Amino acid sequence: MVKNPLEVALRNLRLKTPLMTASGTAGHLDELTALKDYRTVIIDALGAFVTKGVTLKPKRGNPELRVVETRTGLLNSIGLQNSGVEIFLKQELPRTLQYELPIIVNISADTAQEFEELAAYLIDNDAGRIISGIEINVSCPNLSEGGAIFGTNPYAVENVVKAVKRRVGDEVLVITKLTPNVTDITQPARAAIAGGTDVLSMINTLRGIAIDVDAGKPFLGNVYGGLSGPAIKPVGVYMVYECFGKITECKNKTVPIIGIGGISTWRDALEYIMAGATAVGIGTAWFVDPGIFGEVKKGLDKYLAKNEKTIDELVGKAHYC
Amino acid sequence: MSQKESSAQRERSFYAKTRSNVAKLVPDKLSPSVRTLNEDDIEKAISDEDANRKAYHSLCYSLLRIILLHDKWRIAYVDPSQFEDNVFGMALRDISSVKPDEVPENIAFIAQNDNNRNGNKMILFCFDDQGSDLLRKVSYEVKKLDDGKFDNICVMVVPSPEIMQDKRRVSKADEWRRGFFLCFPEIRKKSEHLNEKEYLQLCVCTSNPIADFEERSGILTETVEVLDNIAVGQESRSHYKLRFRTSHSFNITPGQFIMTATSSHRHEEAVSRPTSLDNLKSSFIIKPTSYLKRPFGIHRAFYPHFDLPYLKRLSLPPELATVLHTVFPNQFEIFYKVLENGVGTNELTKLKRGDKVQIIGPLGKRLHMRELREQGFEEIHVIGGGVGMAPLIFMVQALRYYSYPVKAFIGTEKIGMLKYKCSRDGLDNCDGLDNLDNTFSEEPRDATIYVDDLIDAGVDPADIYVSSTVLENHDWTIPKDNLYEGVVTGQYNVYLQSRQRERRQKKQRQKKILAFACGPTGMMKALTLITAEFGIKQKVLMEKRMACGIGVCLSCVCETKNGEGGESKYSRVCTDGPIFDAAEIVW
Repeated sequence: MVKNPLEVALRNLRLKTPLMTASGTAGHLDELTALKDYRTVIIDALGAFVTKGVTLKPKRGNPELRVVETRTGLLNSIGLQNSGVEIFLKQELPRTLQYELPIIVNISADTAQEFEELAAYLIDNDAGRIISGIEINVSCPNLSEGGAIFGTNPYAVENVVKAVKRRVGDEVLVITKLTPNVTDITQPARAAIAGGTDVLSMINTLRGIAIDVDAGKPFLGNVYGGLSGPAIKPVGVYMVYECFGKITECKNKTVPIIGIGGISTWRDALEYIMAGATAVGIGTAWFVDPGIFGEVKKGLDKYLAKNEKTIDELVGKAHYC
Repeated sequence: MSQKESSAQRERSFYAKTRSNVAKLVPDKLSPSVRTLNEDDIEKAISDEDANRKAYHSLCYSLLRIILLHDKWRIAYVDPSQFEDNVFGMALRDISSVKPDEVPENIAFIAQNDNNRNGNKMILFCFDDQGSDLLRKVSYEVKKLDDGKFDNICVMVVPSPEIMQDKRRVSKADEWRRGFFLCFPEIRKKSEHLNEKEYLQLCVCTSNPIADFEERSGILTETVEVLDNIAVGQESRSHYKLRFRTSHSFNITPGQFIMTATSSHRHEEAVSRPTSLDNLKSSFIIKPTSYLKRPFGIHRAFYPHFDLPYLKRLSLPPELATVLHTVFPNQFEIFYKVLENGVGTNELTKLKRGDKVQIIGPLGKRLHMRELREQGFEEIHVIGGGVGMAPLIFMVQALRYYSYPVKAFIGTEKIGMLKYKCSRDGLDNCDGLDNLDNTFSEEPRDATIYVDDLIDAGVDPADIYVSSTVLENHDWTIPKDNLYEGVVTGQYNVYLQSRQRERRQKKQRQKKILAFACGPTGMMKALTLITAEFGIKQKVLMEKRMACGIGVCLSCVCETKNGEGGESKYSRVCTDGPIFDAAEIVW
């Protein structure tokens, strides 16, 4: 049988395509089934599904306004609104089973201890073994360290990853999603690897503020938000390139990278792959065009067929020219 | 004999009797095994043999009869043998004396109501494709007789919702000009609801609860074609009306919305890397361009072969109307305000005839119009402020299909903002458009948005109210008394007060009224106090900034009171709404 040229592997997790959802942009999957063509344009095109952020306790979310469009970007501050891990496990997770996709659960917490608790709760109560991976969102404030973002402090990153990895074990992937709001991305990346992460994903949103000049105040209820969309793509590609180029574990693919940030076309996806990403996450562009996963998959298929390559062979290609 | 036993015996004999009734209706092969008339049986009944098909038709007829008699319509049928001679009057046979099991086959039925204000004195209906040829012929004859006043509607009864969905496709509209559709499960449910006793005599052996017919339609991504995009308002070019058409069936109901790209550029082009300085200039670097799609409610929808004069006269038997379906609309208008510094709305104004833009929809919860009648609402009020009136017009269009009495209250800053020149040149000159079948144009005229839309939808001018902070002199098609200087909430309050006074004088009972409001938050909030005072149930159409429109991004939230433990929570306008109970919102 001919090997599927789109197939990639994140450690021992095989994905039928390198495309994934970006956390928080596709709900818990069952919302998407309202789309008429969801099977062809989403389920068939995806390699894995990443849920929106789950927290230990239900979260109400931030006050309005929660989103504002900027030039080719989207500034959001949703505030991790979700119904908490208990309802997630009971109601939301089991519904994803029917789509036969690897499910990756994105988790957020205020302290390293809470991260550990949350990860343990998920693993211990996932009776159906639905969860294929846990993605740690280190872009949230660390309340035990005065509210500094975990992800900006390599020491804190290592601690969190270690705590989660200890509870998750080896059968479920531990993915660390890095924040781009740092001077040197390789530092938190190395810290996550030292903590035992299996996979790195980057980038989360960039911090930003937009001001309504007519009202003379910030647009967002939460004042600042996270910037996503095409505007941030070069930043994401740069950070993937840096990690792949400078970190041995990334270069030899023992710690593969999921590239995220502003992907809207198959060419954007290839940029990330050539910079060193094994898989890519698409988020904001999905809001603009629900057919995006299908389109990107089609584009990649065509490109691979024309050049007689596989995705695997193209990972990090830009470093070898 | 104990009382318990005797009642059980009575029940047994009742069932035996009704089962034999049904056996008469569903003879031959089916009758011995008939215990329940489920979908499969019906399917079999129409596919198997003539006799069974006839039995199915008889059953359909009997159920329809319950509904039409409730609406006080007489039923007749067309005798095909007489009709051959083209003497229409001779071909009509009164069916009141005909028993259900003697219903002739391959005929078109006619229901008549002589006391109707607006016309539509006749309903012609036929079962499935049986009799449809005759139906068409009869429809043509009636049309000749009534001087093209369209005083008839055609209804085709089909066995299942699936077949009905298929018939309703826009591509099939030509086969059924001005055709309405009914499906069997729905008339079965409706007739049971209206006259349980008679229904039971017909088919008591239906032990299964009848499943609700749920209109299913997934969210589509579709490229639509712009028909025109014209400025509305006398002074500034601050409001626009965009009309587009879809190539496929687009099953959207009032309260639902679409998200539309604001330019015909494909999303890929908009974000692709500029390759030259020229590209750079025209690209987003210099001038902001929109990225996300924008949400809009539907202002008006047009249905193939239901032209405006026909719609205006349309008046359906109320109970039957709640189970009738049309061909899906394929042409839509959105009415939007151009924000001074709004990137998306400014881009939208640049769209012109023939441009193609991508839309997503239908989005939002469906409003089930038929349920409003089941909930006992006798009258519907719509109250709109500014562009908030637009989605309410579409709602009124639908309400009219369901024969609901409607009163509309329009609030506008200035009367002049409603005026525009409705021109025809758009569609006569079809540059850039290939096929204009099934598209509508209006007569060229000086038009008033909302007011004319409502009149076109068949609302009596006396039921249309307009308020404005500045009342200028204008020619009005509505009574002078329906104009009000001030805000729409003020006018509505005054209206309700005078209505209450009148009612008390005449010692009448208060009607059960439902009000829909859409407009600025302050206005909707103020209305909740007024409707509460007068005991009117109020629903609101909420509007928020959105990103995805399908419930995943959690951007478009509004605070509602239905959180856990009696606390408030953030609900999504896009999927939990946009229609909410006004009492549910934390204002």
